[in-house]
This record gives sequence, C-alpha cells and structure tokens, in this order.
Amino acid sequence: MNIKPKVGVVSCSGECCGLGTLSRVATRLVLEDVRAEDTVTICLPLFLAGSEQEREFAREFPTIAVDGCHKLCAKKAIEKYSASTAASVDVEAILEEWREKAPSDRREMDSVGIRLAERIAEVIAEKVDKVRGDA
Amino acid sequence: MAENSFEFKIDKWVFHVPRERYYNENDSWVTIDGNIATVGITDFRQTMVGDIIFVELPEPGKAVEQFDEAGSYESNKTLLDLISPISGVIKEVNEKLIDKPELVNHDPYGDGWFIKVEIKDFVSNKENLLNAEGYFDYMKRKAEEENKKLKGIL
Amino acid sequence: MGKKTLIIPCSGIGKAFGSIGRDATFRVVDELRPEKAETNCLSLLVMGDEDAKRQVQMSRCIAVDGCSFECSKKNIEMAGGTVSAHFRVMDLLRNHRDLKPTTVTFLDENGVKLSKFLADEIAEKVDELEVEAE
Repeated sequence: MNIKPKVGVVSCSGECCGLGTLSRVATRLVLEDVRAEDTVTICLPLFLAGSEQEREFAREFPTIAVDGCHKLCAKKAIEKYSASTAASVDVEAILEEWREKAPSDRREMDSVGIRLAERIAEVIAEKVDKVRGDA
Repeated sequence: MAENSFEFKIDKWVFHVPRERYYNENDSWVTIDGNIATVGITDFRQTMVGDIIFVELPEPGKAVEQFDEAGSYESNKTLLDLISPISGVIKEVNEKLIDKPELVNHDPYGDGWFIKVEIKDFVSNKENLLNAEGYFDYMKRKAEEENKKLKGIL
Repeated sequence: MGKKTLIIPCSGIGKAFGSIGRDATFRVVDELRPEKAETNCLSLLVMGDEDAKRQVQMSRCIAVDGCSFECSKKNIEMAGGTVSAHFRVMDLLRNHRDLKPTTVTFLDENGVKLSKFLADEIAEKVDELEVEAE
C-alpha cells in the first residue's frame, strides 16, 4: 500500500493588512476542512525560533507556501531555511486576477471576506491535489 | 534528545522513547536510582495534551500506590491525572512546574519530571510496567489511531 | 527610538493562542492606541527583511506570543531588537481558567474575551513604556 505523505501548508503571518488575514484564513480552511486529511501546517515563526522539526519537515515533504502579498515571506523563508516549495500561492496576485479587493479590516472578516477565503482555499486545495498526484 | 531513544515519526511529529526507562499505558515514565524513582509523562503524551498551563502536585510524604493519581496537569484542551507507575512515598515534587508548566512540554524526560518516590516494592510493580520496546509499540499504535488529533495541535 | 511602540504578535496559525494574540494586537493598534502603537509582519523578520529588522532595532518592541515557544520574542531578538515587554496568551489563560478557547480560525466567545483582556493589558503597557521613554 502506497501511503501518500501529507503536504505541508505554510501561511505568512501577514499582520500588515487584510491580505495577510485572508491568507491565514484560507490556509486554516484547507487544514481543518477542505483538505483536512491531506495537509498539515507548519508555523512559519517556528522555522527560526523552534526546533529543527519544522525545517526538516519542509525539507522532507512537499510544502506549499501561501503568501498574502508580493513580498512572498513564507515562500522565501522556506526556501532560505529548508528547501524549494512544491507550490506557491500569492493571494494578492490572485485577487488582481479576479478583480477583487482585499478586505479592509485586517482583524475581523465579513461575509465577503470569508467567501473570498473559501475561494482561495479551493485554489490551495487544487495545488495540494496536484502535489500529491491526485489531480 | 541526548538519551538513547527509540524514535517514531508521524508527519512532522517525532516521538522519543528513551530506552533506559519503564512506562505504563497511561504514558507515564519512571527511572530508578537506588530506591528513588523519578516519574514524568512521555513525549507522546505531552504532545497530545498540548501546551500545559497548570500542574498540581501532591504533598511530599504522601503514600502512593501503583496506578494511583499522583498529581494532575491541565492544558487548554484537557485535564488529566498523572497515574503513578510506582508504589511508595512521595519524597519530592518538582515545584518548578508550578510557575513553569511548559517544562513538561519542552523537556518531558528531563526538567519536566513531576515527582520522586521512595520505592516500596519495585519487583512487583515492574510486572505491570512496559519496557521501552513495549511502550514504543504501544505508543505507535496509539499515535496512528490519534493521527487526526495531532493536526489540532500545531 | 521610533515614535510608536511596535507590537509583534506571533500569529501562530496552529493554536487558538496565536489567533488571540493577533486579534489583541489589532485591537490595540487599530482601536485602543492607534496614535501610539503599530504592528508589522513577523514573517518579514523570519524572511530577514532589512527594513523590518531596522524598524525592530529602532523601536520599543512588545512581543505577543501565544505559547511557550515564544516565536515573536525570539525573532525580535534575533533581528537585533530589544523586547521591552512580553506577553504570552497561555499565561493570560492561567488567570482566566474558565475561558478556554476552542477555535483557531475565527475566535469563539472565550477567545474574544481573552483577546479583549489581553488588548487592555497591552494598551496599558504601551502607555507605561511611552512615559518611561520621555
């Protein structure tokens, strides 16, 4: 029986703006609902502050970076401390493509923001499937 | 993890089981030094429980039987009793855990010890304990069953 | 020193504690003390962004951590900053044992209450640090 390993999904922490919150919520939706069985999260700050565990996982298992904006902190940090990412999601770029605006409130998400997060979660899920060879 | 240990990896979690200890199925460990036993909880247990925010310790001088409650620990998710793997009299408790309960999470086999017990009868207690290999097998089965819960930890 | 106090939450994505710290930080910088406090992305420090590092080095920093891994505190210090005050959500829970949060993505009632308590404490600290600096 060939057991497929889980895919790591790493979100930027994104305190600066609504894009970061969108990135975080979309990632959480993937982890707890949309692809709950197939994914595991790695906490980005632990890459530096934690033990080797997080960095080793990102080296050994396919990891998807989910970034709120063009700065691509999660992607760059993973590549700096572990290995290349298996896939990358730039939420800012996706919203531009969809001609959608980022939520203005970075603390609380309204129903429009939640719906956007759900759509982005689907984008992340597709990448998870592709990485696992399920697509 | 300096001590010689078995290791079990599941996704990003690595669980250590030091070879030179005894264990029970409540995920407590015990080491013996002369007639003093030191007791704590395993790496697997501290991971499953999550961040420990309170520890309650018994009074030194209290008698404890094998499988008795000998303190408790509480995380955001749950409150559990420390089940003593050993019978005897409690000689010392780790008071550092009162202010720094996170020692249990960060160093479950070292600074995160709970109690020291003056042993009454280790020979008969030992019959009810697992060696490292036995606990490792038991833990692996439990970890695989509880895989879903691990996601809720981090 | 920068004019505003810089508050950096860990925003730990795996635990309720991270969400609470993040929420509390936003309450402080957006509602309670917008003239006196600001925040920035911890991710930028992890990535090694030079502007973010400079900001940390030039500011009074408050680290808001969820748990005992203390990612915010450690990353601030690794970036050359000084942590003038440190909060851990798990410590707050020790004083509010009946408010155990159960959700991570969106805060539940207990999470919101804890966030508000924490935000008040952080805001007071912002005031204290400002007075000390004068």
